[in-house]
Amino acid sequence: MKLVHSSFQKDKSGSVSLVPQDCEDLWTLYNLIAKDDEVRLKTHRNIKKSPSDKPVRKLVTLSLSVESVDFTPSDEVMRIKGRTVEQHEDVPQGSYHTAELEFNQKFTLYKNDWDDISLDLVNKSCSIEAKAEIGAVVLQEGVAHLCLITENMTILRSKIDKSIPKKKRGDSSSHDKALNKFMETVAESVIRNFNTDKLKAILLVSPGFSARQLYDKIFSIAVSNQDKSLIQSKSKFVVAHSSTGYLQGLEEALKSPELQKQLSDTKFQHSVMLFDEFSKLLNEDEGKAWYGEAEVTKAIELQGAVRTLMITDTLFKSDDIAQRKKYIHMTEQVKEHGGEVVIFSSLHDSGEQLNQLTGIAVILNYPVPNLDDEEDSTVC
Amino acid sequence: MGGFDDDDLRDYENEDLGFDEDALNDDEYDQLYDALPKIKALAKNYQVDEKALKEILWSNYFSVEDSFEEVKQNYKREYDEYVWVVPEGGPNWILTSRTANVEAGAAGTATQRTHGPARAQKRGQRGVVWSSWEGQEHAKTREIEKAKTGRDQTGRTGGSGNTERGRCRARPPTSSASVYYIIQHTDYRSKAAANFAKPGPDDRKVENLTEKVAKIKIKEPKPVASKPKQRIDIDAELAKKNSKPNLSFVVIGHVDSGKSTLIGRLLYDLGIVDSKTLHKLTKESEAMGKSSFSLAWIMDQTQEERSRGVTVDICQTQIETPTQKFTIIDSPGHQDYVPQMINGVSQADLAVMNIDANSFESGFSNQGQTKEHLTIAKSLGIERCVVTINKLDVTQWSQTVYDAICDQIRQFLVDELAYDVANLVFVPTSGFLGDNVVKPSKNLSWYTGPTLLQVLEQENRAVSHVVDKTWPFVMVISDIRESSKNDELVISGRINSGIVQPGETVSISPSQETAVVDSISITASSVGSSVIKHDLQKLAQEGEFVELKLKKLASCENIKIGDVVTLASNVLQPVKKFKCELNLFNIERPLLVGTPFVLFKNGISVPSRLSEIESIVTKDGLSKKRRHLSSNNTAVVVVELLERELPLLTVAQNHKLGRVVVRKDGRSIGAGKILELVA
Repeated sequence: MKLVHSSFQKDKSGSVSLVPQDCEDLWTLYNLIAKDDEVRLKTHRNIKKSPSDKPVRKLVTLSLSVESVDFTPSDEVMRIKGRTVEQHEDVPQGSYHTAELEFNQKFTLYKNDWDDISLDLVNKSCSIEAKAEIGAVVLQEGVAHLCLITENMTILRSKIDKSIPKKKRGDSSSHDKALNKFMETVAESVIRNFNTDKLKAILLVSPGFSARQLYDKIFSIAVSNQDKSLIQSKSKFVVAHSSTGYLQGLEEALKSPELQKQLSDTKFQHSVMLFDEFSKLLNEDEGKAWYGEAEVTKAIELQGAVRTLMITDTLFKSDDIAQRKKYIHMTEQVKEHGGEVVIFSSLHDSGEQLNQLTGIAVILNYPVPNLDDEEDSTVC
Repeated sequence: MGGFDDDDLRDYENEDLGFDEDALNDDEYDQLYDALPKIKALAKNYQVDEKALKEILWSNYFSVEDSFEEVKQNYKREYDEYVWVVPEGGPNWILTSRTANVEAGAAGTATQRTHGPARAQKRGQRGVVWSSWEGQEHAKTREIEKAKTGRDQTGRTGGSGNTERGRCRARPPTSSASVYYIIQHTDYRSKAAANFAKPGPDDRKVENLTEKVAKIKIKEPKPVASKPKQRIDIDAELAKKNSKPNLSFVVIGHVDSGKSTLIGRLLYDLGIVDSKTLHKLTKESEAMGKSSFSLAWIMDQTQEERSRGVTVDICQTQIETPTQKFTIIDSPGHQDYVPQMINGVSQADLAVMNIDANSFESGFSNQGQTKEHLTIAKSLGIERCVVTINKLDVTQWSQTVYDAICDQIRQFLVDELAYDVANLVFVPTSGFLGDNVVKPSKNLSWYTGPTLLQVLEQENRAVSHVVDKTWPFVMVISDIRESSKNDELVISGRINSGIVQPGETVSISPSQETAVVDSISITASSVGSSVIKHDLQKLAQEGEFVELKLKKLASCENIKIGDVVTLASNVLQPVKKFKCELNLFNIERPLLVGTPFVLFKNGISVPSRLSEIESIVTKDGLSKKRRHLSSNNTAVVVVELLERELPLLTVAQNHKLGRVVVRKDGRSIGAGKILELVA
């Protein structure tokens, strides 16, 4: 995302002008734009001078007071719905309008209250180094998932599902044939779906040898097609191991030490590792890991106890301003006392898991038992 | 009424709640184009263009009926005159349209004068608006109209309920420039009233259409459950089958313990694989520098398996001795292929645990597969277990080694997995050399018990083969072979319960496709012959491994391995969520609500997640309210399948199909029994 202009007042209100560039930016904006913010942008609208006229599609610049924001990551489309706040030559004030946010199109966002989380979102999405994308294929015999992983999202690009006949004593030709065909389909799909020049790395993940077979297949196709750019990016392909060919295998592979080195400092891997550590601590049951709003609140009250606060972006998305403020206050407190705050993206699997687990969790510096006890029971 | 002036109207025009096709969302768009042809058909006699129709549809929330009412109200019919305008000079019903005048009073009917002068012309035909008839005086006229349309026009002019969006219609009646005079004549009036009481031409059309629509029946592809092709004496046939009972066993164990070699040896010594074939395999394996693999290659045939030297998938083969039948399932031992091994176990009655005497420790450690395989076998309902201590040739046939291993395994099976000691049999073997597999061994002087084959024969006799033919027929598809014809398919699998005969109609869940069983065959090799026979059967019963040739399938594409076949009279509904009692093993990470894992059930794996924890049974027997499960917990939980729906049976319906195993990150973390299907 490009930041074109920003101006903030002393009371924390202010506006920024941004240019979204990719789907990732839309997700950021989806999390950034809240109800009652004001958005000013160029948009198309059908305008009728009088009811009997044919409506004319016109490009107008409107300021909308946001009522809701819709986002479908797979379609790369974001719609902002709201009412106009200014009188316009063609559009009366207070009219409803739904604007589609387009790539490479400047728009201005005005907020009454720019909190740290919002400012952070803008700053992070405008820095270039955080932009790397990774392609991944998770497969096993008969099923393969192709996905793109960005900072905040895991997007399933394509899924290939085929029944492969079992081998039989004396004759396994139908098995071999079907498997070969399956690998070919997956390899072709990889070549078609992934822009290898742009991606930072391409992971091939599977149990057993399937990933290696796929790797061989891709490059045998590349050689026979004399696809130079693909052959040149051979070093970007990484074969890794998982126990399953379903999407969860991806997360498993990300935890492996070999991949950690190669993909260090990507945010999603950081969150995968953190969540894994959290689960491990939870299993040890020593009171170093807690989840749930009440428990976390208590942990934060013990100043300096919290090492890491994990929170999903869904909680900040709340329309209830008081709710949002409360969470922001929590993050500020943790930071103040030297703790780390990690915001999980709910479009990654780890964020989804945290969401299922109340969406908020902490890892403590030292064990604090019985955070989950009711107040009265501790008194007794 | 009259409080509107031009300016007000203009405000309405600018109000942007008007219809804009491009602004519709997907749903609305679909609805619009659903309804459009219908309204077009209804309104074909009206002078109304498509765009206007769309708008009307939109303002009536895509209800065809309501929209048609509006069309009727606002647009001229092509044969309008026939009802409303009587030619000049006609003495009776005169309905003329003139500019405002006072004559109205003379006729005894008050008329409504209208204001917005230019608008009617602008809006064309829509200017004739019925709602311009206002006031109590017109009650009678309105009754006539009511009779005609059969609907309450009052409600519509009032715009109740429709006004929010149907603004054009709800516009005050001032938009009509025409004023009607109605000169009434009692006779004609009653006659006209009578005429109106009859259904109008459009109503007739609507009636016809509704009648026609009512007649259209969407043909349910509900086939009549067909009868078996032949009438046979089922009991006699079953008795004949049971005279030669079938035992299915799966060989499991840690990687490289010699499972495939053991089975290869069994087949070779029984003469099912001839020496010519083995000779060829020996030559091939020597060429690859893996001469010790020659026997294993009888079962491991894919190029990948041979070059890597590990079994990747299960391989099932059937043999027939003079008195008995066996189904042998070879399973992979490698950690990555536990899913395939689970598939093998789910088709077996008995497990043969093969242990490498030479490197027992590595297999028995927590990272090894010995314990994991045994735990899975027990969790999937296998109560009897034969343990072969293999590769004794390498340990110089040592009895000490044999006894030490037996003790540890026995202890594990009895203490941790609650096996009954009486259900365990231990056999020392050497699969590579053939000692104590089929032939007794000269090297094992200290061992006096039966050979592996003898043990299996004993087990076969011990297993109850009584089939309750009243149970519903259920079979899980383990393999699919496509046929050259489109509506044919060969599926194979083990019959889980009940019986099936050729000619019967079956239903396959979750796709709910139906097909007719054309033929049933069983593939087997007899002892001493290397020929693989395909025997056609008149009947197949529980426990048999069969190939069903299906005919009259609507589509083969939806049928997948793991689907469940039942008789058409007993269709299984697939579900997405189920409640189960979950027993957790030793786990490193707790199972949190929302944790994804892979669920294994009869040969297929499905990504799933823990969606709810109902209760946890703790040591004190109390359930603690928690959102996560830790090691060795037993809990009642709800599991949600993530990618597809599956037909499931509870453990009460089928004690094997009702069991599941869950794995995460390459480790088996728990086993469960399905208690209830949720949705």
